[in-house]
Amino acid sequence: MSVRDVWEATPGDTLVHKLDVRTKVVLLAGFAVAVILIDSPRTLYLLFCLTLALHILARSSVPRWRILIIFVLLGLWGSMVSQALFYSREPRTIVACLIPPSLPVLGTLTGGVFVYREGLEYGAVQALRSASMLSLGLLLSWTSDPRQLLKSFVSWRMPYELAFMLISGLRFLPVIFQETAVVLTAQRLRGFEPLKALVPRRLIQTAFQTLFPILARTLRRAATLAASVESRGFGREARVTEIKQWPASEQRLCLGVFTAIILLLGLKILDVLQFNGLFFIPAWRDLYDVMKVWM
Amino acid sequence: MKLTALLSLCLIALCLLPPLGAGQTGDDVTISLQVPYYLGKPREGVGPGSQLQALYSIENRSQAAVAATISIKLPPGFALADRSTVWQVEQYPEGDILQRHIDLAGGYSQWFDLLTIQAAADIIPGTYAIIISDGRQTRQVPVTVVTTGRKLGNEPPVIEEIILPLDRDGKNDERLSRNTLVMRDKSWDYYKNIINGKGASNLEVEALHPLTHMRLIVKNPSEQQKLVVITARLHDAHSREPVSGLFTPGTTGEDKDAGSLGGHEDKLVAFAALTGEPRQTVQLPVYMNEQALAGGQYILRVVMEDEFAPPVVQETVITVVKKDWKALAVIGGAAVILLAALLLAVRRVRSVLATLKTRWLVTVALFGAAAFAVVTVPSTLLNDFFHILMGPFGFLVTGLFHSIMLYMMIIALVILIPRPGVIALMIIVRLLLGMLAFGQVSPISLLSYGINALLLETLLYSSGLYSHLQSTDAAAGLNWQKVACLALICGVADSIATYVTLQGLSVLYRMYYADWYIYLLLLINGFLYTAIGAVCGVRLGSRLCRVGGD
Repeated sequence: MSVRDVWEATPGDTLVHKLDVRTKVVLLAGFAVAVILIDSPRTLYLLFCLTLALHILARSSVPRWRILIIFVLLGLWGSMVSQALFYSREPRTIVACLIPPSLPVLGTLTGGVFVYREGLEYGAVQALRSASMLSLGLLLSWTSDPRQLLKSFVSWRMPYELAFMLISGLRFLPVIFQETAVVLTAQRLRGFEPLKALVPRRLIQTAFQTLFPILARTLRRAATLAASVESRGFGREARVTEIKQWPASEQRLCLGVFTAIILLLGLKILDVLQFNGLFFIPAWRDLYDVMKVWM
Repeated sequence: MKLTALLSLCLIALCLLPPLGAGQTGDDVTISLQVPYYLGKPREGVGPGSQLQALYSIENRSQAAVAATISIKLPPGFALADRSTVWQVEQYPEGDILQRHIDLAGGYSQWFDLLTIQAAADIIPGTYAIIISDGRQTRQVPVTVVTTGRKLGNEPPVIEEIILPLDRDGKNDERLSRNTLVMRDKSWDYYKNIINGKGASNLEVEALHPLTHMRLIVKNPSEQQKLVVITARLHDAHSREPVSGLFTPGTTGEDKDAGSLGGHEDKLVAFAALTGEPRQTVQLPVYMNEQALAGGQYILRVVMEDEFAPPVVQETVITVVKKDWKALAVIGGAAVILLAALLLAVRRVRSVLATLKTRWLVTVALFGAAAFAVVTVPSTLLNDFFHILMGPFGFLVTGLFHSIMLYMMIIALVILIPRPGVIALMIIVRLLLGMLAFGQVSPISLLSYGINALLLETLLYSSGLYSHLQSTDAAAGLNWQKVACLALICGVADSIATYVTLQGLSVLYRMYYADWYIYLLLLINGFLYTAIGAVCGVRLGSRLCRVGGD
């Protein structure tokens, strides 16, 4: 698995690859809103499965599945651990005590830190939100040409200079990664073991000695790149953004998704109003029941 | 004339005399008996075999102390249900006589109590007289025994169902979910009441408002008539241990610590009368202390008991919902501010970009990319790992990346290019790279990055640090006061952004965080690490100026 596998898009002939980048961005935004609105574990799970199905549809390679699984599991694990410690609903069952309340300083400060069984389950369910977004975000970046993505942003009135900055950053990201690796190797050869001795002064010194060569080279590269693009007329000529026509069918799909999200938002508001006893339409009792199960 | 004056004097004397009621004698001692007594509820008769309550009272209105012996004569077919009381019982063929001695102090004093009387199962329907006497006065109270024509069994009353929430009229509000109680946040009530014109109030007053009402449906097949004590208590759904949350407000200053909260017992206690109906509803107000109760599921256990029969227990699972309105307000406020700032930025972004040289744009872009490579990627990969390894204290390590190193880079960039907007541009590049490379698209990241950029730009601009850096040599232009100011600004901005992020995670992603964790994170990661990073960034920026500054 190379670092490039993480962010570089690969061309493909699948339906997901063929979709216009703008369509994918709209779907991603709609998905981001949907996972926030939904509380039902079963719906969250279905949405997560849907994102995995899209990866299957996009024929994501085995190394990418590995990356996806690692990222999702890390997030899931982190969320489970975090919620196992901080879960505050009742009932909750203590399965382990990390810091007893009687421990001086930390025990007094925290009131005791316990691992709650229900928190583990709750964290796993809530992590489905971030896992869904991560899965879909990676799908977007793996199946979309960044240049097309930038052109989409520009066509949506993103300032040209900002788009240029973004493409410069994206273009030099692998170089910066390589340089960071080289600098860390050099540091190690000089005998630095930053995480071995957790002394604040030493850590700051390591940070300084790592950042300085990376940023110094970045500055020199910026000067060269700026001279290069200015010599090619950057900032003087009219902006040219060649972007293919957004298919009407995909525009309709996006409109449908947008409408669905608005509808979902409206239903959620109705559900919240009903739940808090503020507004209730008796004739919609069945709808409320459906919302209770699925939302 | 003399006759008229005499009549007038008599009239005045009559008016000045205290009124004489039933059973009252001239010595200012009054006795009374209410039987059957059902907490003021009218009841025409009692059934054979039923229990009935009698409320007797004796008052002394005279200045002298009075020693009285109360005797109650029960007709045949009636007997004292509880023989363990202070009453002396003498049994005669014509009926039992109950006696007890009571000392009443002078001035005003009163003694009242309840008696539980058992009617025989084979008693003949009709009207019987119960006689109460204190030796000086006697009262006779009729009790009617009626027959229902049905054969009643010996089954005890049971609580068939617990229904909640209800409104104060006992109506089942369809808008509210069954067995779900939504806790109201009372912390702002003081201010709300002032704004609404109700004036200043305190917790004592607010505690007198029930959260909701509950109805108990009591099935009483043997049509027993009695007074019962109903106790409602919350229990942990797993361990079934009692938990705090319900309380009974005190009604007088004599309760424990006085005031409406004085009667706090961690349970709801009420006195109710079973009137003998085969199915009866009892409605109770539910008082809850939202500070003592966390959201989640609990078992509501209602116990109905008197001193004669075994307690009747009924349980139901209830869901308590506690809304975090503070987090919602923080997120809402942050979103509105960010939206307003975005609208302003959209109008000004082109003019800001026009003032920046191409070299600066590239430098900002590459700093953004470097921040992504050195901060975002390690943070993303290590954050969860250290959380697992170090538990809630994982941020002490990951904070080195996303606080110290990030702010070293941000401040170094400001030293190199002291122009308003550079921090925002760098953060935007970092955000978009995260979106393109890692698929990190979420409202939380937009909110977090946005608030961070907005606060840093606003505070640096308004503190005059941008203009100061523009006008002086970066390497020598910052004295320790300016460096401290820079560190303070970064610390404050990052602490606020961290707080908004945590509240965002709490509201949008429904995550829970302990208060101590939030405050520790803000203090160490948000403020301390960031301030250290800012100070180091000044030094880094000064050295970078020698390498590639303008």
